[in-house]
Amino acid sequence: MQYEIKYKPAFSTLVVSLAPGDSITAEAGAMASMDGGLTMKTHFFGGFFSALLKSWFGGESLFANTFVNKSNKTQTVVLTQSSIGDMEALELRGRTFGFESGCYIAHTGNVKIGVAWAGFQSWFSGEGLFKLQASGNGTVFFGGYGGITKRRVTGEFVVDTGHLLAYESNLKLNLGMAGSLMGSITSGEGLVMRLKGNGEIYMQSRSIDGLVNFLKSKL
Amino acid sequence: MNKIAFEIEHQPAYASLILNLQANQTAIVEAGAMAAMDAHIQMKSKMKGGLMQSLGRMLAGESLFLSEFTAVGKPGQLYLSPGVPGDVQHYYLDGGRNSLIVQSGGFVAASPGVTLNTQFQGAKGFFSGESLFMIQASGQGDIWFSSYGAILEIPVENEFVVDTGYIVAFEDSLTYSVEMISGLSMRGLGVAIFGGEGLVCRFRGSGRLWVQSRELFNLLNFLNPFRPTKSSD
Amino acid sequence: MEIQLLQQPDSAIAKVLLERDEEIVAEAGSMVAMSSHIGANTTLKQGKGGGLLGGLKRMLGGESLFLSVYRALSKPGEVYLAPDFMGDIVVYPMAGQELVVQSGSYLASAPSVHIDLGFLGFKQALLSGESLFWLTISGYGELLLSSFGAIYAVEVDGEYIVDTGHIVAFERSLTFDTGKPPGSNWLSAFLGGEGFICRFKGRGTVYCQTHNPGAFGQLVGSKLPPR
Repeated sequence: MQYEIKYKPAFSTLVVSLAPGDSITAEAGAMASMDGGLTMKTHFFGGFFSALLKSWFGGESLFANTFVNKSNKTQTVVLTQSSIGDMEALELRGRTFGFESGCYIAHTGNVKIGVAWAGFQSWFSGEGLFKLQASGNGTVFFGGYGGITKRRVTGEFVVDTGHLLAYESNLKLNLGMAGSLMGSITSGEGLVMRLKGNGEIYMQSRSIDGLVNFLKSKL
Repeated sequence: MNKIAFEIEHQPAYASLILNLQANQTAIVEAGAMAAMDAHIQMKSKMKGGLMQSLGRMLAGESLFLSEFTAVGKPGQLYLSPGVPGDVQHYYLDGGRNSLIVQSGGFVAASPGVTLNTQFQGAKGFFSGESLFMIQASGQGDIWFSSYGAILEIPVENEFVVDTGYIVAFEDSLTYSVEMISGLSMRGLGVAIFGGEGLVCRFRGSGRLWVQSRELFNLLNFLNPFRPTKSSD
Repeated sequence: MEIQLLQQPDSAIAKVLLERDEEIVAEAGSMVAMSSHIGANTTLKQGKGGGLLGGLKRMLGGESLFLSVYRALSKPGEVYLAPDFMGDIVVYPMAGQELVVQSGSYLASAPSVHIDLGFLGFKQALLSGESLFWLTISGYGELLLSSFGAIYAVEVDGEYIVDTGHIVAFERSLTFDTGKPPGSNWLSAFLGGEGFICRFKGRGTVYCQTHNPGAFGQLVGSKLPPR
């Protein structure tokens, strides 16, 4: 299987070439176009109960599609996301990463996709009780709204909740306010995530909430 | 005046402004633009200077809430993201008589020496019709503004006409007047949409003009059918 | 006329240079800026009928296209046009063949290009309940198409499948049918989010866009205050 992320960063699109026998799993609705020789199978995202949890709390769809090449020639599938923005291919290499709701697109290889408890504080912030988690050896494709910046946290770092996409699971996350309570209300800087520890994070340079807030004032 | 060191990432579609503040340096930032920052940067919200007085009657929902971000004790990094996809542009005000007129939704950040004012000659023209809101920035220091879509710098020679929804910023050495071109107005066609006034701004003289490549009312009109309806839960 | 495309591919703009007395037809609301001596007129094109200002038969489902005509009065001038969505623009030279275009992807065309509403190949429902509708373009001259996201052209020679929300335009030489992706049943296809796909067969070009306006509209629109 070969892949290329084209049209970065504005309209990142994943173009996958599947050799005979190859397959790739993607979230429901991700297919933009594909060669006529590919077969698509819809199934619950990682088992029925896991799918329910992911859907209700992790923000993902109940369903995923697996594209299989049952022909004897290479076939191409073009995968995309609902949001316009950047995409990253994350090689897990045995590590575990947590993903914000909605940013998972596809995966290939020996990857276990599950849900992890995110804590009540996460629910209060509107993020959902469970986070999507991926571990194992393989590649996870995720995307966001805006450009994606990778950063290594050593010590402490603060990220606005709408801008955090993915983070290595050994980082400790704490929800907080950006400033004082009054300050937060009048400034519009609401909830932030205080990250502590040592690990990799991915941030997006736009947030859907940011866009929504901007548009609300124009309505 | 200390200049603020900065970088702009992810241009031109999702430009993100990174301010590298020196120890105890402060930046004035639009509310809600903070995406990420070092933990020792302190935030204080404030209404800037004379803005409280000059705001007077605010147009539907437009507001300019500003926060002060200071890197306490040591240098710090501040990542700022505008709400809409697009570019970020830097401009330096040299403290002279020239000022920059910026669409208020496009203001991202400025250094403390810059004054922001909404009551200036010609401001009223923009108010007629859509909730267009322009700010005059003067003083000495850095200012950063954003666009929806890519920024085009258009060289004005003689006269040039721009749809008001696409204006990002312009130097006030240009003379300008807002008018309605009836041939562009959608008002007579009996449709309920945002915008469609046919308002344009006619520029004359010499100066720099920045225009954006996308317009917000088109986005709002497109999103409108997807909004939840009041009768649904 | 001369057409220059700027700021590709993220938020492309078309800069149209008109000769004296030359005209261009464009989607209403797409004018960014123009020389001061350009004259403008906006009208409503509904349903079948010849000519821009004529033909007012009401179309099914109330589909209509608002068009503006820009004319360089007495001397050459320029008009900058922008599409509604973030994305790219492609210039397609019409030379007598027929092209089916998604209504939201039409940006502008020379007056000698003929625009017909009411192509009834398939009715697509967007998640909002609104319908997409399709235009049949014929005639001669420049046609400007816009996309949500980047545009990619696929030279079909055999069979190619495209999710209907991702179709910008396709040549009429292709045969097409809507259906479910191979190997799935209707229920799973719908649940899998790929219920609305189009299967193209034969030879011809399909222009696809990388992103689906309906999906993005749902993502953002559902978070806005109720109307």
